Amino acid sequence: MKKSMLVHIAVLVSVIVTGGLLISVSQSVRRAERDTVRLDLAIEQEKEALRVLKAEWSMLNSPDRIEALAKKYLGWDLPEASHLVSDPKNIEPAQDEQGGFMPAALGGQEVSGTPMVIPRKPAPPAYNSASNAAREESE
Amino acid sequence: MTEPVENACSGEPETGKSTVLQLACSRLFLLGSVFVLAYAIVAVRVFDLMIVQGTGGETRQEREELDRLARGGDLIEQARRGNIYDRNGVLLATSLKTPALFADPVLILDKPAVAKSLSEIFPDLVETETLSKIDVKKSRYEWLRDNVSPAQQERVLELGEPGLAFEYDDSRIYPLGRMTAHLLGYTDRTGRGLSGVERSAQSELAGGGDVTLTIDVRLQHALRREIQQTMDEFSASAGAGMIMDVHTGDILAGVSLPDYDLNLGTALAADPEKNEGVLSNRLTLGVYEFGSVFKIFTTAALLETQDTPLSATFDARSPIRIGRFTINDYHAQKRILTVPEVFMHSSNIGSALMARAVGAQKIQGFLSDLGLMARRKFDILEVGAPLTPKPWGEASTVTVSYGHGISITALQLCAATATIVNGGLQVHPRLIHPATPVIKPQARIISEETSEKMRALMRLVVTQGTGKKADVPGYYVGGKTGTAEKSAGKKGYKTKSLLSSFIGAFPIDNPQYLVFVMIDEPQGTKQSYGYATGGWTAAPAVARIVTSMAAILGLPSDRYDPAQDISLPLERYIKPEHTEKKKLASN
Repeated sequence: MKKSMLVHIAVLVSVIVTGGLLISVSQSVRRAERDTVRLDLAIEQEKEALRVLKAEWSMLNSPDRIEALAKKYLGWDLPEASHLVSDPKNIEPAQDEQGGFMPAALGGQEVSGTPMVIPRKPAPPAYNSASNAAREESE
Repeated sequence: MTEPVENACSGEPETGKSTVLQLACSRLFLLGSVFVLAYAIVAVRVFDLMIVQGTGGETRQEREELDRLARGGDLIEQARRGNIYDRNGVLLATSLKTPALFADPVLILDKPAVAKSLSEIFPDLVETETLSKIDVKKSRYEWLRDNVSPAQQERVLELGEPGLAFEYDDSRIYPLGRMTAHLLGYTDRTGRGLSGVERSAQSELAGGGDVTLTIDVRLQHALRREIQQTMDEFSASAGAGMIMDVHTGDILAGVSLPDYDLNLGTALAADPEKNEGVLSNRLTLGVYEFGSVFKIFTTAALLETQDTPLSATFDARSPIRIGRFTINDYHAQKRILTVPEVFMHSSNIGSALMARAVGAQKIQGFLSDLGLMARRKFDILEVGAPLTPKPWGEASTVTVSYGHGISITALQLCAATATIVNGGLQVHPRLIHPATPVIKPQARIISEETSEKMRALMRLVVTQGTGKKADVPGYYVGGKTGTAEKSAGKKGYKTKSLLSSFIGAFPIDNPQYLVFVMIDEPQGTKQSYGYATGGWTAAPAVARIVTSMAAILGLPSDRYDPAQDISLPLERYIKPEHTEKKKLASN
């Protein structure tokens, strides 16, 4: 009879322990699932934030906005074609206030490699401003 | 002999008296076991709730929501509509979750006050319309507005109105607004593309794929700025323009003005009649008689099909009469002109004679080879079909030679001109950059030699002809002006309504870029001596665009020697007076 009772107790204990373990495992699984969902949500939020930032970046770097800001705060205007040269020999000396040419050491600067912005003597007008010239260019 | 059975409780030998005790003992044990089990379960559960689950930090409600999400699979996100980028990776279109405002009319107490407050927060919401929406007794959901900004959302929340709420949904956002309006297109509220690339690439975008365009937003901005400036200067009603790579057909910039903010595209499309002006795509959908720019094709047809030398002459001393048409020259030279002279003076009479020399059939075949006689396949669906003369009589051959009687799209004009100047290979314009470069064999339309001659003639137009204002020292611009009186249907032509254009390419000795500008109904100014022709309106705009392109793309101005100008050999075909006059003018 003692043996039978011991068996009963053992079964009972094992049921309790197994039940406890099962609950623990199930809770661990649920917690892991919640963690996964939480992480997924966080990732999604980060992705959304990135999308918003990219859109804002694109908007803030809009060429018309940059151009307006450069003009307003830096006084920059649109470049002229003659500002871009590839060979330093083709740079005409900068003019001083009296209209004379300044040597490179004083006004201009030595350049090399790719194009840079350097003031250059404007090209002569291609036509007279007479009305016959105007008519010629029409159409 | 059997051994006495032991009592389960006491362990003593079973007797008759102890049977009752034994039963009681067993029942007690069973009952005790049940209680122990129950308390054990409660203990485990308490442990679970307090220790195991209690460490998560979230409330029960949050936990339940997380459990629901984990079970329901709501996180399996539907593919979001893909992004659209320019050729340098600048974001042009994306989808963001934005709040949409809706009302539960049952919960709103002071409806007139709410309608008034909402119209103050959202200027586009009309108070009376809002009131009629929220004054519905049975409805529990009335949509009020999409794309609520954070500031507006805060103001709505400050109202403290329980009947106003937000729901978050994907909205299509265009960070650059109106920059690429007609080519990019827009979607409806459900995210379905309604026009432009949004429509033509619907399946790819809806599947979450990104699309890269051939557009460069820096060039797009420069093109748009200069066309808008020209429109303002000449009080024009509309304008359009394009920058194209003459070899690949890549459209680097494409503008149709007036344009609209793509973020308001759906709202504008709701009233297409009212907003027709801004919604019209003048670049790929509108068809126009472009006038003298068509002489590029007439002259190329003559040089290619008839093997005519540049020294060939055409009698432009008197107008030509064909049926009810009288063909005059705008810049009447009233003399016999060589091929370069016909081209640089933009002689209608000379071009008509050229077309006659080629013949109606060959002209049609040539224009067909250039893709000007049928609707062109393109990366967006808004593409216009050309209006060609039917039937094609002798008068058609003559009028088409100088760009009247045939209406084509600006897209067709640019693609055909690119073919003429790029060495003679057929160009297929493209707007969507292929994910993997596809090298298609290009059909040869004209010979390299004819292309070279055409480039020299186009350079001549800029150095000595009608397009001088398109010249940019150092960049070898070549091109052709065009000024067409707009068609008035069966009534003929509106002499006061012009369509002025210039199509050019640079560097013209080995072209890389094609630039086209078209100004609709420009009005002459004091500075232009009253002229509103292509040479006075579109040509200077092209010069400014080329200048901007040089700065943006880093093209230096000192790579070309003026002594090597490809138009110089043509001077021997030009009457000396004109060359002398030009030399004097430049001194």
